[in-house]
Amino acid sequence: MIRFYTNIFIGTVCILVAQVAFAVSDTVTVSQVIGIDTTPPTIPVPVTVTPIASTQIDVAWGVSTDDQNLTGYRLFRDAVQIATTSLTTYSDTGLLASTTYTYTVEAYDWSFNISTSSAPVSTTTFPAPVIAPAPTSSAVASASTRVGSVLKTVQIETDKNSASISWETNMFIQYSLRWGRVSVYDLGFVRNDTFKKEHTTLIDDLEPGTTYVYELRAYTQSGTSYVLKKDSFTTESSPDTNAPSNVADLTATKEGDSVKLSWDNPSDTDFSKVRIVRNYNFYPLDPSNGFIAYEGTAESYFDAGVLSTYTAQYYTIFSYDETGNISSGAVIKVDKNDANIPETARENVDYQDSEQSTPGQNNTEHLDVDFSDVLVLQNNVRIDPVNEIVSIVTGLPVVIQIPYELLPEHLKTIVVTIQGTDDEPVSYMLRVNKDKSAFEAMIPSFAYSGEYSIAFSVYDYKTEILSVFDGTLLVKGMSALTQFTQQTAEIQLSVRTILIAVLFVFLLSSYALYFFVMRKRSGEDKHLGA
Amino acid sequence: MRYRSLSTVVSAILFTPLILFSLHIAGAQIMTSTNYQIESDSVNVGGGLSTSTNYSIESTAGEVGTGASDSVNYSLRAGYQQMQEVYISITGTSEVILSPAIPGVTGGESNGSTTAIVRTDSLSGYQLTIKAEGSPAMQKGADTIADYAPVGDPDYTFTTGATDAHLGFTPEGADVVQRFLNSGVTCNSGSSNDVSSCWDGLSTTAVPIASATGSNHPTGVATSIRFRVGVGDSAAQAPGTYTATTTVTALPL
Repeated sequence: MIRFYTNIFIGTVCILVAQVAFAVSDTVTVSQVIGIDTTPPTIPVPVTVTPIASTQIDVAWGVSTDDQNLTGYRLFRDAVQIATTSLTTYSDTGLLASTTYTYTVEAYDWSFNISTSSAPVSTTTFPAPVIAPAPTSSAVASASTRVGSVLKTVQIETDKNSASISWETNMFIQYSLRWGRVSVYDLGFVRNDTFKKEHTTLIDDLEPGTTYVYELRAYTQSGTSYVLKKDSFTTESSPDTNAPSNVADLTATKEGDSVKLSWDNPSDTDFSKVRIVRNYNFYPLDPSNGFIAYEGTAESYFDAGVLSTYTAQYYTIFSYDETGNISSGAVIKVDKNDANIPETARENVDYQDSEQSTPGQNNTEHLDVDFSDVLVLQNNVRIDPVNEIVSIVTGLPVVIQIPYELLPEHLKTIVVTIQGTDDEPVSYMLRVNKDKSAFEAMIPSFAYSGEYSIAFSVYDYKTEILSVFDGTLLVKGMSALTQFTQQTAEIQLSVRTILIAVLFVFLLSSYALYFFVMRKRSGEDKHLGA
Repeated sequence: MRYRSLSTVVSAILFTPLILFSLHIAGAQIMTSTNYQIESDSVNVGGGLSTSTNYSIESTAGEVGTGASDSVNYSLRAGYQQMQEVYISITGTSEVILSPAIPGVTGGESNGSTTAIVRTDSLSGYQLTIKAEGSPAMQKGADTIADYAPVGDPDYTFTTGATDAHLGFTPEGADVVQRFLNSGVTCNSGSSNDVSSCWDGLSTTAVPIASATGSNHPTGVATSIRFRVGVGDSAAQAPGTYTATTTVTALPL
């Protein structure tokens, strides 16, 4: 008789108990120092107060020092804090006329260590001004003649969206500034309530590369006002932020374990170079997402032995312009084990299934996006589909967009594949555009008319397909007017060529005839002489 | 026909114990189901005295694990398979001094990090958690710096408002849990583990920051824990040295 003994149960229980009791811990202390300085700054002295107007007193004080980092000053009027500032002057406005005010100043450092308060200093505002009567025409003329002597300097610094205007007068004034694109100055208005000799104001929310006019007006302590200056300024132009076109007609040829890539560089005038990036996992999504195989301006590249280690390679070619803007990328996959031509992105997503379904419709249930959501633009003009066909023209690049809000956050990329009836398919990557409003790609211009299929493959962050859908592009030649103009030009060129040829033949014939006549006459003269 | 039936019966009698015996011997191995995993088992047959010319052995059957006995200086694991415990360790952690010092008036940001290397031979992996000893974690007497408080998932970007003064952390490493992975824009979405992204606040409740489902012995896996304090320019944070005591725990699964 065979007997069996087992302690499976006992052993298992023991191991489980050991695991539960075996957690290990470690203590990590995190410390942060906030402003270790404990020494306050020195007292800001001397403090001076100057009445400027019936409503304004200017306060100034000496610079304090600190062993660590002096940060600013606190200004008190009649023991009430009225301002903090990093400057050493302050214009206290909105005061009552003929009233005495007392000021003190404290300095503080970056740790909020505060100095001892300065000794109090007092002064009295001016009496209220006598309101002047309405100006007569002669008074206005007098004021006008006074403008040149009041305004000493004006300086304007502009950038793309703002302008900083600084000016100096030889007397204390308040000011108003109006600006606009035309002389009605309808875009903005500012006015200050401080009497000063040096003024600066910033105008923002301006358009780049635009000329604005402005009017600067002064208000004196006596209540009169007059125009200081009317002039204009122009904001700086925006830098080029437009991405260049992608390369065209990207093809790949396998030669053993090597790959030869060929393409046509974009025709953008500021095109500078292409960068070829390869990755054996997925299409490189940006210019640093993989191995940089080539950089330059050539239109072909031989990638030697690239298929010896990995059986498949994904390529993306990015084009650059002189400003550094980068195209979305033209993509192609090369598979060593595929006996046919290198795979395009369209083949890579097993597009056979989707081709059996209705064009123009989303063929998966993962994402509710289809061809009707795609925006097609040429020359910055949106072209709407007619019967699910988008008609475009040859000779102009095409911008393909899918609105960002229609796509999920975990989206990785979108690849669009375009194929003519007798052409090899060419694929491009759609990337998020600069204002994050859409996934976008700029497709090079079409050279030939005809019907092209356009297929989209949407990948999530795990490079799994979320959706595939397709549509049709109907590429037409130039417009009839453009064609007529071109044909007319061609005819004019032909007529001109014929006329030149006829003239040339006429001149040649005339010369030959002249030469023949002269030679014959010379022969006759010799004959008569003999 | 009769002889054939008899032959079948005899064969069954002879081979059935052998088949059963083979099955039980084969069962002496690690087994798993949906909810449990047996890491060590054994099946024993018989026992008794075995002799040769020079040796004799009295073997046993049906062994019993007596269990653990611990004293101040020694730990005893008595009995069959009692030494087969799961090994796990944390190394590499150190005190974190955030740098630079932050001016109390102007505010600013400071950073620091520590690395926890977890080694375990647990076939089911491990889980690494972090928790704070106090709430908020960072304190200096009565003065405190708040815990970073994202809404829901961690913030992809560490953001400090003008009146904020807060401490955040983010783990980085191969085993970081999904909550701290990102899609390049949002956290708890995608599979990227971007540097200095996905910031969360400490809590007195242990929060998982890394986990794995298999053994990593003997190399272990490092998880870096990055800390950051942000103080806004209107936070008016009192000066001094603030400290947060945190506990990092590795638990075998």
